[in-house]
Amino acid sequence: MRKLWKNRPMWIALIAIVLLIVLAAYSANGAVAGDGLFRSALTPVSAFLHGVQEDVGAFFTRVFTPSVLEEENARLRATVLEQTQKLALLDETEKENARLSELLHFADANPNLHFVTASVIGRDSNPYIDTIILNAGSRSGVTEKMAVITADGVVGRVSEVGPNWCRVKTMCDEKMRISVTVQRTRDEGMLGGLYEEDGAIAGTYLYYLPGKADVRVGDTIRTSGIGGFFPKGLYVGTVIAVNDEGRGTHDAIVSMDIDFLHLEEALIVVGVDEAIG
Amino acid sequence: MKRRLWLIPLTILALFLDCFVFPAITRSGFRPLCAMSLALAATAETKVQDGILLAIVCGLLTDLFCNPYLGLSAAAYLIAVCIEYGFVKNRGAKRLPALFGALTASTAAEAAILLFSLIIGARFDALGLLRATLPSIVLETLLVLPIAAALHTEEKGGPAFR
Repeated sequence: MRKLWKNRPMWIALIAIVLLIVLAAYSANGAVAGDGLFRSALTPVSAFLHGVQEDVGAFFTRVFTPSVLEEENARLRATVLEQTQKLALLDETEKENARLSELLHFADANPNLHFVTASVIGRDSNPYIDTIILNAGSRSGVTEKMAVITADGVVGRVSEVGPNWCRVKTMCDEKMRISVTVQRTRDEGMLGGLYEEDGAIAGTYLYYLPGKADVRVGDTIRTSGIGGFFPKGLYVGTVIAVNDEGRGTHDAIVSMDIDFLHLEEALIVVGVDEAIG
Repeated sequence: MKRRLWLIPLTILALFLDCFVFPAITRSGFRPLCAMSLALAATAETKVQDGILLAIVCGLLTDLFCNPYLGLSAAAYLIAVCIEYGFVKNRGAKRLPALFGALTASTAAEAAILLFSLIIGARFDALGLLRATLPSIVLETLLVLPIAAALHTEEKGGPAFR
């Protein structure tokens, strides 16, 4: 038998060829028992080797094809840029959400006031007239001289109205005047004009306080409601300095909490519920 | 004997290349059958029994891993081994007969696979098939040289491919 194998391997090979071709023919018809079993048993090995092939292939592809690296680099840069923009948008949305939440809380805390929420869409370039433009107008019920406020205090008064916009004269305007009350003493005065320090707005003047008024630093200033434009009791600011020169009246400097340069949303007071207020 | 141990890693490498690397990285059907080249080299350099064994084992494993027809590759490899054996049987391990044998054997094996595929109903683009198959045959033939060199032993019949 050993001699036969040694001398006539070709016969064995030919028989094997015939058998294998028959096997392949049966396999083509799906009639080989155990074929699926063998393939299933080899599946983990196949998966492992396929993984190795992918890793090796990816390595050589990257090493020998710089264009692939460049494309991948460009794609990653685009992805980073896109993600950065999304992140910035998310951050912006988060900040807007915080501001609007603050306004909403303020509105909830003042149920007697009816508001229209508006965003700042422009600022006048004229350095002598300090106004801002909001994206709410007559269609939203806004009329001239309505009060504009935020949770941080009084912003100003509507000076001009369009269908879907309005211009607001802010408290930073030199000619803006409103009637206010010192919350602790109930003394009344007139607020207006700008107090500057080192070229920056540091507050506004509080004039015409009675001579016996006991105004102190830290007192809270609120709107008095006199004049009818600003509802009574709105927060305006805090006294930061008192000027008592003995002329029969007091002057004070009031610091406002509103950052006019970065103001983005505001509430326009379109109505006051007198029954509650 | 030590040289024949090279057959084990070479077989694994050839199967890996045939079943996983070439199908993934080559285009237009260019698939050199490294396992067949290994069987041909073993036939020429060591013993025909080695070639037959390698043809059957590698062919069946190739079919199990990446061919739908179990036995087809094994049959094709065996045909190639038989043809190669016919070329080198009475000429020793000389380079030229072995190379001609490998070329004929590779062509015959590819033709056998093609014929079987046609019989079971496959259809091919003739030009595309030529473009893919001819480089494969050339590479399969050339691969026999380094593999045979790796399997070469002084004890069995003198230097390989003189």
